[in-house]
Amino acid sequence: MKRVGINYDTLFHALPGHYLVMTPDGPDFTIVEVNDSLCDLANMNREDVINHPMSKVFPKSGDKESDAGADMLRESIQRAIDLAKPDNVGVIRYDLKDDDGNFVRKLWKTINYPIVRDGSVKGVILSTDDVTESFDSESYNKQRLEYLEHLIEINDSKDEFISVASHQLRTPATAVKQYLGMVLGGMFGELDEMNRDIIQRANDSNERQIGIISDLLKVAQVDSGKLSLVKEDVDLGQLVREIVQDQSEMFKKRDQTIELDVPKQAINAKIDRNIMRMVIENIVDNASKYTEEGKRISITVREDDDTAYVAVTDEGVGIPRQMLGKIFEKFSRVDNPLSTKVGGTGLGLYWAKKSTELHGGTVIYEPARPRGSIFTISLPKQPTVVEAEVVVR
Amino acid sequence: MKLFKRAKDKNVHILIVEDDKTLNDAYRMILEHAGYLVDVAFNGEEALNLLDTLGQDPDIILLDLRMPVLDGIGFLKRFKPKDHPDCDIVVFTNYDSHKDIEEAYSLGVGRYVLKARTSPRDLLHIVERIGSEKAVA
Repeated sequence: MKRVGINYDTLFHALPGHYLVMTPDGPDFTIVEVNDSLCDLANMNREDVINHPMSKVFPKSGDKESDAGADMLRESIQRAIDLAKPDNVGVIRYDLKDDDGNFVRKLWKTINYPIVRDGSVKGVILSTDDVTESFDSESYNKQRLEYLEHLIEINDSKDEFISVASHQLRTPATAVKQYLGMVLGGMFGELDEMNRDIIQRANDSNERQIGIISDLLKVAQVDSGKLSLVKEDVDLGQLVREIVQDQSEMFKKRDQTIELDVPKQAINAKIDRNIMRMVIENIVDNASKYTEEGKRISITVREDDDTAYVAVTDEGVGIPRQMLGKIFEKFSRVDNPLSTKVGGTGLGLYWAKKSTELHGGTVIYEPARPRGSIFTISLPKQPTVVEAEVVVR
Repeated sequence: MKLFKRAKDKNVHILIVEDDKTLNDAYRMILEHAGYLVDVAFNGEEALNLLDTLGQDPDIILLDLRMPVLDGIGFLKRFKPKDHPDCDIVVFTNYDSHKDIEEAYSLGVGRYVLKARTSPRDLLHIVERIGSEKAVA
């Protein structure tokens, strides 16, 4: 047979398809070869691709669907390696950057082929096609819908898992509380100062642990939509007075002044008293924690035609600009001189906002001048939420 | 720091129904130390059998809700608290959903306590208060 005067490298780059070769070192998968047509398609230079990990060359865009596509791709590559069989990803969305560096929506049809030599997988060839324009939108939508349902299922089971795990954790934590309480209460004899201090620390830690478990449970409850509201007419002014009264010890301990600006006449809103009480407590508690000793916290209750407002203003450390968009996210913690001292799970504000939203209201943040924070809870005076979620006593 | 106070009326009889052995032991130790008469069961079925054997209602039942064999709600449905006005039932649980609370109350439970938030001292306050209410009555 007459040999064609062409080497494999030239052949690889001349192939009409788009190929990329990786080492089987998940989860990053180093790219060892890429053909020119894929470089052209992805708008990338060969040297920016070769010897770099997949995750770096193809970063996540931040779009949920696109990032889910990136995850599916990685899972497919791993499956091709684990099973030593080609793995068809189907059509997934993975966005790429255009010339201006902006992410553009792209759909890809991709298959991963393992390179098997001497019984082991030496690498993976990814073969892909940009089907953004040609893909039949009907079947794409069907696939999207199926994937969405799949995500909802996973999310539900995550909520369920957190809820069950937290409940399971509560029992041993409760038992620890009892035994420490017995020792602290002197049931087995008086404690000297050092032993008391040690057991007290264990007890404080146990309290914190129980607090974290409660926070997790509360969040799992709002996330799963299982928080049922028992609504009644509540005078927010009166509720705020009660909360301040209950927390007066805390302010006294920190030598903080609390100022109440609450009108004499009732400002009623139809809310779940216990839930909104916890929301306001949470925000007042934060205001106190993140404000230095000796300073002032003020709470104002106001209303207009259809909305009632509770605003909590402090003279504390405030929130750095770069954290502004994140403070209501789960597990967000603001770094400041007081936050290490304060502790906490970063779940409180997330839960507070979500629970207020279930009432049809919201919580907003704005910086106070010259220093500190203002958190304003607004609540519709008459409910606007879906009544199906509301338990009527 | 004071030791736990001894109960004034040592004849108050308490039944603990709790499936977690470590927790059941803890409650028993706390209450016995305070001078109460204590019986224990590890699920609703055991509690019903024990009540049959005793032939007399305890003054207080501390009842967990989630238990194997027969849970707290199942126990309440068969025990029918309304037929036992002299026996106070305190639901002692870590489940604080509206549904649980509503159901327990509708079956005649007088008190509902979240275990994780209850220290030995709180537990003694609860039983002491019930004891003194009974003494007044």
